Amino acid sequence: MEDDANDVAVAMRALSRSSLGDRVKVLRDGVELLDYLDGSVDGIGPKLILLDLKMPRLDGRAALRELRKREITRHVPVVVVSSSSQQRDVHDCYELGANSFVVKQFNPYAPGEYLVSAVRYWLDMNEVAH
Amino acid sequence: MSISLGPAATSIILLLGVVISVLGWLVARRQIEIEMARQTTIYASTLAHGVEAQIGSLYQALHRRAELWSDPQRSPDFWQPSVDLFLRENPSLLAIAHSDPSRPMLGSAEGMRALTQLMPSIVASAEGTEGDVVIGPVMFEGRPLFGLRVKTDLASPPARVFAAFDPSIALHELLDERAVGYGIRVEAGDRELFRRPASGAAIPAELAQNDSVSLGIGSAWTLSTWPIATTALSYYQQGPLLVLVSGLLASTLIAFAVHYGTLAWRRADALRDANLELARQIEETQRGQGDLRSLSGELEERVEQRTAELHETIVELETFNYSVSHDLRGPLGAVINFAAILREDYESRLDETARDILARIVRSATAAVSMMDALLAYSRSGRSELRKAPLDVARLVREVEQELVAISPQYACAVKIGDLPDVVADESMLRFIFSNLISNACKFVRPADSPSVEVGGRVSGGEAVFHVRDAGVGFDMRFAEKLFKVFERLHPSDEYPGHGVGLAIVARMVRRHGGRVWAQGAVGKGATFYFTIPVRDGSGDATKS
Repeated sequence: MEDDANDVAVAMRALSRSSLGDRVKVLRDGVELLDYLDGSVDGIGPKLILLDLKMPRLDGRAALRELRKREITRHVPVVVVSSSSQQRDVHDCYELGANSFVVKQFNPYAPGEYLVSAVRYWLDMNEVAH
Repeated sequence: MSISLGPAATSIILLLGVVISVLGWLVARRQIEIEMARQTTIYASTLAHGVEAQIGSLYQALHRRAELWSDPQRSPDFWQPSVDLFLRENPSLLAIAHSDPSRPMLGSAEGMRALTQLMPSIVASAEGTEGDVVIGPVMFEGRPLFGLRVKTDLASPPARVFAAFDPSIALHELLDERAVGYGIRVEAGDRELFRRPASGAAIPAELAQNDSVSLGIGSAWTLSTWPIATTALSYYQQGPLLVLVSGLLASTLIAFAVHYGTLAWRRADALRDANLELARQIEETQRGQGDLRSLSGELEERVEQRTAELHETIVELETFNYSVSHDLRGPLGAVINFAAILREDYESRLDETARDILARIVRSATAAVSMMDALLAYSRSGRSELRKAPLDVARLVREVEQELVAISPQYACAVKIGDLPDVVADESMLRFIFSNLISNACKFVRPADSPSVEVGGRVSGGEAVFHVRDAGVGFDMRFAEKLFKVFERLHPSDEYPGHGVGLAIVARMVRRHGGRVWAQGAVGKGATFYFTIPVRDGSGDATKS
């Protein structure tokens, strides 16, 4: 979930180059997330959620609260991806049930690759409770 | 205390911004030029195909009619109306004649004169040839014309049809309306058949693109197109100018924000120093002059009030600084990301210069982001909570030394640890202070020396005085004040990496403990950094932070 079109473009490019792009759904804020979750009636939710903190309407904290409340996403790993490295933000996110907190990185030699690493860890190595 | 504005940071950021903007503008212009040449090439090729098709179909139509006109089954009366109609439909054909003398030459008076004049040349070129013949361009009354002979096999002996063809009429019909935003010229050999705009202005050779028009009747023309001034202008200006203007605007804003941000911090620091001084005076007053207790009370009240105001101002400034740095980090990061993507994805289409420019953009923007990050670190050092606890300083310094070796071996070196008194302080801050001072001491060595660093301390006058001493490059005492200010550097960053923020953070952390920080040194003779942390005195009175 990310409202910044630039960040979405960079992330999608990096993920697509690692053949992860076609499995991604981009949502721009918490309201879109709720609509998306309400719409997935067949009970197949996301496998991993990358969550930006600063978003219009329903922000990252509210979205996180909502994700942990719902059965379908209760155990889905949530990686907070934020440009903030403030202790208060980090602390709040773990308090609200985030699994990981990543500060946005700008690597001129591999733009967006840090997200691919994060996604690979959570999808390929991490064992999830059902 | 005088307040120096330290315009270096502002100028650097402004300069960086301008450089990034101008480089961005150049790259955008270069891309536009390439794109414009591509568009023009496509346009030239489209037009050339159009002309080929048009002339080709005219030629085929003439062929089909020639068969009809030569059909022996048809009445000779068929000739005149059919040719008249055909000439009306195809104004670029000026006159038509037939090898059968019972079919008279038809066309405009001028056309018939032209065909009569062309006839001997046509017949001469047709000598020994059975098939079709094209001659031209031949100048007739200032116009380039072509002469055609078309052969048909229906009649016996085979009949032939002759025509005078004015290519400029056909080209005007086809190209006049398409020459919008572009100039078009068609040439046969070195004769110009068509040109739009008609004015004699020179054709810009560097913008023009050529394509050949193959007519399949033994003649090939050359078609050139070029964007005319207004097209070129609109192409050149919009995108690149937007990049330039927004870049300059953004960098000015950043520079202003940083300028006022640092200015305000220094004011706040100066105010705080003044307050500390005031507090000390009050203490003296209370101790020595009981009579003036009421005055002290009043003063104390004023200090409290001013401290509260000051605190509020500081919190406001810190918040402002934090959000400015934080909000600018994203857009700058986007510059890095997209320049990197451009470099990677369009590598084959960029030349050496463009790649170099992109590398400069990436370097500059990366430098700006890392300055932002340093500013954020400085800001955090003033905002985090002060958690005091009794500390074993000697053990802490040993740990710091081991950490430096493990994490950044390039800034680690042999450290001689002397006596170190224990203090009550915030552990993470004290760790940062020693880590920064020791790594600095190891960093600023003279190129030929192996660094030697000594750390020590003692208790004196109610405070623990610590020092970190090196035998490195040292500094000029005239600039000692500058060492502890944000973004001030005494040594070039390409020799000694860093942003000039570390010592500013150290100074701020020491002050938050109620201590002082200063440095002594001389160029080439090493430097010693001192800081103090207040300790509990005999009466058990804890020093305020």
